[in-house]
Amino acid sequence: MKDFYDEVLSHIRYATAQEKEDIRTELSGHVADRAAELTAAGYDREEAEDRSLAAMGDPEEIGRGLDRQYTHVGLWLYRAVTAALFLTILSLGANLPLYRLHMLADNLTARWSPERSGYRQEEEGPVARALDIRAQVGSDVLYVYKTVFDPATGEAEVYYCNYDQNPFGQASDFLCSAVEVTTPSGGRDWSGRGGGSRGAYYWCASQIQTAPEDDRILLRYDRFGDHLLLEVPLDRGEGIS
Amino acid sequence: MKKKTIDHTELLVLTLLSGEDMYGYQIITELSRRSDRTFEMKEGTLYPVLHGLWKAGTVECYEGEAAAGRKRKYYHITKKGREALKAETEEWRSYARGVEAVLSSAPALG
Repeated sequence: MKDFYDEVLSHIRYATAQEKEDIRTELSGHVADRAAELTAAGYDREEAEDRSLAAMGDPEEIGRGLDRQYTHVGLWLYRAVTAALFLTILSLGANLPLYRLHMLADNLTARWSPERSGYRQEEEGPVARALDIRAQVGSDVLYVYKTVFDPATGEAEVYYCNYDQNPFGQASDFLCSAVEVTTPSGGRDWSGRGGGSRGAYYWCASQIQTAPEDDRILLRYDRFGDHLLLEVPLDRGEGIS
Repeated sequence: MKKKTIDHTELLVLTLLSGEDMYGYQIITELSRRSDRTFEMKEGTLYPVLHGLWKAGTVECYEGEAAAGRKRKYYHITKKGREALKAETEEWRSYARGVEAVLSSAPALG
């Protein structure tokens, strides 16, 4: 049999368990005080309790009245946020093992400051020029970020990298090495070096024989339905001719 | 004449608490005593009022001791409660004056 307090509490929807306990304690304390007064006035204990409970009024009315005070937007917000956070962490744990964070870091480094991870020129003398030429190749971005020209040898270098358009995505590991590097006069790269990891791949096409009139370098890629032809200006360091 | 923004029960409870901190049962008995038994509300319905005042920040509560080691919840009026009480008392008084004025203007009854 449901007692008076259970009946009251059953109408309070959003209070916490602690709050409900506190309400029960407060109401039963009130009834006990009233009952004590009645027993002092001569009623026997059982009747005193019955009268005291009756004096409280309709439990449903009290319960609904209290329910109106315990709307607890805060509680539901807290629960919703906690649940969302928990689910996010769960899904992150399932779908994003730690290596993906490295991948993300690599992707962002390639995207924003490839010089940090890319190859660096070693010698003095060559004309280095930073660039920002990007092209979409499939789901990746090819980013040409530097050229170097050695006036002594007439040889050029082109630095480029690729990363997935999606920062969390995996970069194509053959794109860079499959790019054909040529010059308008028919020169090509005779050497190259590259590397990287899932987040981004870097390449330096080097020993590109250039003719004096070659003012640009051509990058060509043609595979798996993706076509690319990039013309990269080559700074020969000669100033305005 | 502005509509009442506070329930008269809340006004009475805050008035009692402006004198001293009280617990629920004490408020009920005091209300009855001071109003010369005009106000005898169903005792349980005081609690939604008290909890509402607490949610509104016009009262705060703390635990005190009752007989036989039982815990008892005391209510204390806050600064915000005192300000609300002052404003609402004035509102009520002007409301009551308004009602009285209309009643007095009626032709004599009986």
